[in-house]
Amino acid sequence: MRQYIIKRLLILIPIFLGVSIIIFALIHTAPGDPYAYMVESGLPIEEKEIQLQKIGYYDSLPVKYIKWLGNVLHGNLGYSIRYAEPVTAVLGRRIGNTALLSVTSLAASTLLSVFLGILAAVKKKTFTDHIISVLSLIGISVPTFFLALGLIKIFSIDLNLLPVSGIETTGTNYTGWRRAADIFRHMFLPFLVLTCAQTASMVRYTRSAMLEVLGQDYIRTARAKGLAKRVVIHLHAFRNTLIPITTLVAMSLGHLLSGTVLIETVFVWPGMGNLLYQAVSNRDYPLIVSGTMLLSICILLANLLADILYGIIDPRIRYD
Amino acid sequence: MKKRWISLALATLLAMSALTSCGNPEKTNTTGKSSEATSEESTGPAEETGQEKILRLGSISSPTGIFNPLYASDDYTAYINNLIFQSLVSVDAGANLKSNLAESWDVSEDSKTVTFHLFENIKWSDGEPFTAEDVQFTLEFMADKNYTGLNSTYIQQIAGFDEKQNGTAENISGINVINNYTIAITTKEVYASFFEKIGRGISIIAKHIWEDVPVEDVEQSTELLQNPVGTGPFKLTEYVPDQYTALEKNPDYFEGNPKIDKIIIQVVNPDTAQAQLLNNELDMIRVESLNPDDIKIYEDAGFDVRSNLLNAYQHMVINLNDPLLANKDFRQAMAYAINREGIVSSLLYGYGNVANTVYTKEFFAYPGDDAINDYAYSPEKALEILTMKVGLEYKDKTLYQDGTPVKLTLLYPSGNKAREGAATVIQQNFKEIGIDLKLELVEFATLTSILQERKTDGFQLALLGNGFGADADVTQNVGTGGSNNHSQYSSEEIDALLAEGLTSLDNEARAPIYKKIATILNDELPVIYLYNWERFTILNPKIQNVEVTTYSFYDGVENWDIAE
Repeated sequence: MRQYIIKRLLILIPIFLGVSIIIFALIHTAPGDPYAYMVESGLPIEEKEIQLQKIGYYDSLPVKYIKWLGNVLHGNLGYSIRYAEPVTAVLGRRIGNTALLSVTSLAASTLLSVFLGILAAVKKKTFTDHIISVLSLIGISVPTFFLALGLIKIFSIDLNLLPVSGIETTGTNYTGWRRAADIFRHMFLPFLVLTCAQTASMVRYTRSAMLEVLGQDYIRTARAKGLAKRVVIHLHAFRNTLIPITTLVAMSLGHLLSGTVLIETVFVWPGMGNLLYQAVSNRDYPLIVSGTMLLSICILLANLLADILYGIIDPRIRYD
Repeated sequence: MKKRWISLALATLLAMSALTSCGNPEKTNTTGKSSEATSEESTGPAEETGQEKILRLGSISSPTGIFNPLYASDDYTAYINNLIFQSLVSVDAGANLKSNLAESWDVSEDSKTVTFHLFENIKWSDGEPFTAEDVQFTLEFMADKNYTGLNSTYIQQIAGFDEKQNGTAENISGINVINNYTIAITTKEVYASFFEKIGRGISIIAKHIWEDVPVEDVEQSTELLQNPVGTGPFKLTEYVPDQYTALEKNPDYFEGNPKIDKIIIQVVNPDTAQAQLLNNELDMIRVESLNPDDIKIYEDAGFDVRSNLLNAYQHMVINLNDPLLANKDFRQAMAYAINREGIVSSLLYGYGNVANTVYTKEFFAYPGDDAINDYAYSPEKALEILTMKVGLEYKDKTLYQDGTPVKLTLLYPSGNKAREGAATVIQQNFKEIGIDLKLELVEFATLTSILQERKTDGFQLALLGNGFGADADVTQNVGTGGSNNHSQYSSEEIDALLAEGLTSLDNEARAPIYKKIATILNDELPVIYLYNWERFTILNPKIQNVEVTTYSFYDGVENWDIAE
């Protein structure tokens, strides 16, 4: 097992290099430049060209890449063009916010969907099952921004219970528990929207995974030898259902830090999704490259984690 | 096992509902009753002064944290820098110069030297006195070859700029500090945009703060950039990217102690900002467009909705290398064919007007309605020109050129709803005159790179906006080879007039020249001018003394007040 993990980690290095080359090439060959949006306010081209020269915009792609890679190997991810701040600081400030929202909602939706999915599978074709199916279909069909705006209308405007947007009440300087409570009140709506959306799609997976397992021969054997239905479901079926669910959760784990542009935009949540969207529109090259690289590392690691978890859940899977 | 899962899930749900319900009562004292409620809660200065006056502004985009006016390149940071820093002069609503850091100024007889007399009682927010040396330092800073801000063209006209830039001179010879409060600036030639670019366009930074920082390191001096020292009415206290920027009044501000104690500029989503205004979470916001329903909601709630025309226009760029588009009659026919009145009334809800030349109706260089053709919407007239003058054939509702149907492509950038809507209107209008117009939505940065490549066949038509300051010079937009002359228009007559316009510093003397330029452009149509639009400011009625002008958002901010 340890050898397997080490091997997988070593394989990550060439993958990482390959991904970085692709990302780098794609981003730098896209038309546009960091000062393009200033055309409408009358930035003279001559001035723009001087600046582009200074930031190395006209270097050839391999030269740019080698410069960048050299810096990265020295632990220097560069300076954001737009924010005049080290890329690490710019990203660092948003990662926490995004993680707070996505980790909690992923945890909640995983628990909720495992519970509801199994319930629906066990009570197949009953009223409970239908209700869960209908709710999850609604959850999948309703666009998240619509749900978000609807909830804002109800909770923030009509009932005036929760704040409309942001992550903290500005200018209050709360500390400790009051601050936590304040953040909680701000994150509740985006959390709810994300959880609803994720649960809705995951419930369907857990339900069908459980149904498939329940139809297997060994379940029938277990039942036939006289084990109680409850024991069979809890002990035999549940564990086998976990494998597809693990894949699903691991895939979501990889996207934890990418944030959701829509939710972050609607709730003005200062997270990664919005940051990277802005970075792309402004062609903030160092920020885009580092941001996307970070996300791809997350996905690579999440995949690795999923593979390791399979082995723990299902002893039949061996790594050689 | 299953039970454990279920109980966990239930526990989470319970915890969630418990936490929300205990969050509710707290709501009442955080956002319940406007700024007074919040100020009572916050400790510190509020207790000393009794009641703190906090103005909460909404901003639809976050500033970038580059609080050095020589480097900031986006509007939202620039707005904040305008509260912290000052330029030598500023302008009033009518684009007339008025004092700012400089109390008065004299122009030499040959119009090449301007001597500024600075106010003598100005202090930087850290207590150091402001002097002419700061002005000299700022200008020379921008002339450094390592300066990476975007404004170095502003000062290229100062005598001795080149020597300073290429390192052969320590100082710029054209800048002469006469005493602590007097500075003379000499330009190589008469520089008509002097007051606009050097006087108004450059905010002065503190020598004692920046002199020890090598110019090439400025953009990496995050600490200094995020803790600015300025002379303006407010000083920055807190900057949280993507969330808010807090400023407090500068008690040493030389034009008087501002009446508002604190300004908090908060990033908001334009779609939900209305709710925040109505809930008193925000006091003021400015937005680029607003529909009558929203205006009514605000007005019914007692809000003050103001609008002012921006010194900007939306236009259709025309690639003049295309033989058909190079035909002036064809361009005029397009102007007649586009229902621009319709665009203004339906997409801008009437908050704007049809543009027929480069200047807005309120600008001093506008030649007057009588001097220009208004190209009133008339597909019949357009067809008449196309068939009679251009020599195209119109049959079966299609326009033919030498037997082939006329087809054009219009590129338009995403991100501006009214402009995106205008593209569809133009497509419909062109169909009425038999032209098949293909629309292509292009991301903004991609579009500008297509336009700036200056390829003869890179595009045919494109929609774009253009804004300018208080100066009438449009060399960049219509002069031969001008950097924003995307149509690649070239006219000797215009070039000569543009050059003539630059030979005086006196707007009254220049006005006739620019009026002539505007009249010619109205006839030549190097681009199709579409519309000018208004920007809205929505104000809670308790905010007083706010005057919003075309040129400055925070003009007179020291007089703004909040009613008890």
